[in-house]
Amino acid sequence: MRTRAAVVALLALAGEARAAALQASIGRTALRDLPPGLAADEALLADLDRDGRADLVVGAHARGKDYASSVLVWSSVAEGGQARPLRLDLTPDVVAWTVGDVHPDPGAELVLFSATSAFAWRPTASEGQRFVRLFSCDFLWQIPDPDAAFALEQGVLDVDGDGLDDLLVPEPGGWRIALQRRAQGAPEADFGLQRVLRVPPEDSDWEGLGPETAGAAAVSGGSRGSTMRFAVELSGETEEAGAPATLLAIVESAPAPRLVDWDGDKRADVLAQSVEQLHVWLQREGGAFGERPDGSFRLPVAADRKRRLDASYSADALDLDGDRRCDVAIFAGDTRAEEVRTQLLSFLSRASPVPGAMRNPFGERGVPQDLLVLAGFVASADFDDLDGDGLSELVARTVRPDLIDQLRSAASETIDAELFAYRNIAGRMARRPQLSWRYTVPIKAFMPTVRFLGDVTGDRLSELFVRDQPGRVQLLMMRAQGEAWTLLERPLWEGTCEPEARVFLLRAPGRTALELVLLEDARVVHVRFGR
Amino acid sequence: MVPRQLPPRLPRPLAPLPALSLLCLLAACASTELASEPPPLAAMEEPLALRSEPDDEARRLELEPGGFTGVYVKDARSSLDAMLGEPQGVLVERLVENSPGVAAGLEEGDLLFEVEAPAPEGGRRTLELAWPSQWRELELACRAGDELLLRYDRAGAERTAHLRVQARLVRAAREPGERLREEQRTGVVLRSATEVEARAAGLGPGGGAVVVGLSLDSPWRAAGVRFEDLVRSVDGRELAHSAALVDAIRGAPEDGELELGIVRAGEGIELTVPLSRRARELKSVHIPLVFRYERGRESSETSLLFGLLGLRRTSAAWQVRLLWVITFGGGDADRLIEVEG
Repeated sequence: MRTRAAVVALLALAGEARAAALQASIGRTALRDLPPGLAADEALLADLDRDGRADLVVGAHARGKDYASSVLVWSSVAEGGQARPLRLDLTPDVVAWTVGDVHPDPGAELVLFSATSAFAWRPTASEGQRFVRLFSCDFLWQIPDPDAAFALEQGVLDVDGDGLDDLLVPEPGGWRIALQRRAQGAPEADFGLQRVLRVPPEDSDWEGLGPETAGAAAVSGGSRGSTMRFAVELSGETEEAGAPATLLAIVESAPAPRLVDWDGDKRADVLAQSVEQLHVWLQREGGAFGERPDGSFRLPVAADRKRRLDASYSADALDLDGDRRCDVAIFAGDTRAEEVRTQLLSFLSRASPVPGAMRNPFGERGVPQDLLVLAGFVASADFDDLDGDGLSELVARTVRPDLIDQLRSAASETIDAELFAYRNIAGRMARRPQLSWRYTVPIKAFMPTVRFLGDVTGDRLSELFVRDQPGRVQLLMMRAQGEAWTLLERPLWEGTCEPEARVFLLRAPGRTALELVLLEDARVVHVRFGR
Repeated sequence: MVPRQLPPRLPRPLAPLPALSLLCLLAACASTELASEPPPLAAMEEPLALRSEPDDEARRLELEPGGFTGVYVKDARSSLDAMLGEPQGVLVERLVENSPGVAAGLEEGDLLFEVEAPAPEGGRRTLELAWPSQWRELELACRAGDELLLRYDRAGAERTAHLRVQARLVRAAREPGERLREEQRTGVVLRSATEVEARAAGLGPGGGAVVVGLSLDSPWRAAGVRFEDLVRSVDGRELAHSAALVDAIRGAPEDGELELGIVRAGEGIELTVPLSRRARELKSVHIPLVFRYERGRESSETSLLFGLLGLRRTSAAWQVRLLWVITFGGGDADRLIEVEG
């Protein structure tokens, strides 16, 4: 027993020593000064100059001015912090922007969306030929946000798997997929081949979806918000004091689409969750989709108004068991339990009993194949392959059930949160967490970031990025210790940032680990992890 | 009943072989991480004297500062659809208080579309305004006291204004330069030209790129490009920004060439320069347990027969390992030897 303890202690010491040696070389930092008068809003990484390295693309707005947004590009070939960015001042009608290779020019282009069209900005073209109209569309957000044009990163993706970037444009009640085709020697790409997908309306669509902000344009994506929406409300005074009358209210929405292989045919299919149903559009030969979904399945836990109040509710669609077919995972608060707890319901894909028919992922009775119970609220959860075995582990961030009491009493200036990682064993989550880690977060206007970045050290285990204090960012090394995973206390990399800095963890083309971009008041900090 | 034939049992000494084979197979299947980006060029030459910009601030302050109008303009096109067409006029974005622009009656939002100004060769010229850079060039060409006749549009009504240019007292701030590195097809390091260098080469501030690094095997070196050459044009197009040269290099066809307009010691020359690509080489061979060879940038490692024999070499040292535990090592000593004169 004593020998085992000594070995464990030696291993721990060796781990600490390795972490110290890696500290200096693990994060390469580039500081980019913002042009005077600009404040950064969004960040993306993309290879615009086709040098194999990611360039930093930042969306910014002019302080104190409406409809004055810009996009700044810092090329990876530029050295030093004083490098001047390539700058595009956006016209006032630009609602959103992103980056994609949508033109035969070398490298990627900026893709700009107005209310009626998608355009490309070619950074290397001569001044008079920089703008190209790609196609017309009925963009979901019909009014630009006066504060800033937003980044629609999910608008560019290779839908049909031909290696060319296609565009997926949200429209009221659905999406338009514009497939890119390039003829040999043609001066421009062709986006004429388009598919329009319409989401069947539901009576419950309007529940709790009243306009909240006039003229707002925002994407609510991710695991919890599953709806993209655009809302406008005009109101006027009435004779009754304090009771404004609504003159005009417009709410347009489309569910956030998810592109995954539903049926294992190696083609990306489109999934969307409405309030009551999961809709599936299957992709056929040549990137063909039907306008109506090929299958609509009633959710075992509807995302109705009641569930909107459930802090733990979220849903995800991904391949959990490695059979290349999509599975569904739903987190929901356990309403029957006396104590606060959250259930993860996993619905694993099975072949349809009827040949040629679409399988119902939830079965006839909506009984999951796997059920995991977590104590407390799940603040957020995602699935990441943490050990390089090709299966996604569950990473859940929870807060203790007495959170509300803590906040009410204000006995402490911090609250406790916990991070759990559950190992994926053939699609089912282990009953006990592989990693359990507690951290404290200050109670003030601050959003912590705790997320696995991918393997930085080469030991196949992901490293954890932590910003649990407003002015501090850290990278913690994870290692296997017996059956469990642990985090080394000494950070692999550590830095400071402005307390108001915004954190972006972005995937760069060709890189396995995510990269860190910090948007500060007057500069942008870009950190590439790995050796 | 036919007696069932049992498979022959392996002789005892060979029993671990399947496990060993499996181990070898697993080792062979274990993927090593591939580099996601090319390594830095080994033979890059960057003279220390060219690491920083030339200290020409005093000369910059002696340059003709041009005139001052107090008018800042921007692209007049206000929508993406308009961006598809040619611009017509430039928009007044900002006016400096008490400036000639204010005195002429201009207001923010006015659309300047034509200006009549003194010509450098004498007389007057009429210039149609389309790009903001035209206004900056006009200011640089003007002298104190020059009078400009402006035609502009305000709320749909065409107007004219007379603007008397004043002397520019406060010069524009020095723009920080930047270094760009192109290591894929040319092996060259570029620095943006200073305002002094750019204007001497007939370019506007911010234009031009100076060669401050060249790889020993760069095709540009063989084609006659030298350190401190200022590239002022590529394929006949003036270089408005040093990044445009990198874009032109990356965007050229596989076996393409570029026509460079170069200023060397004040003289203009034209050079046709070829492009190259990265060489490929074998970096490692692994035959599980039998042979292993890896070559890095500064070292190589060879291992034979289960690691029975191992050899590691760098440019300064070597090490031989026999029977796993016996090692010999050697390399450069910390002293010089006497050599015959």
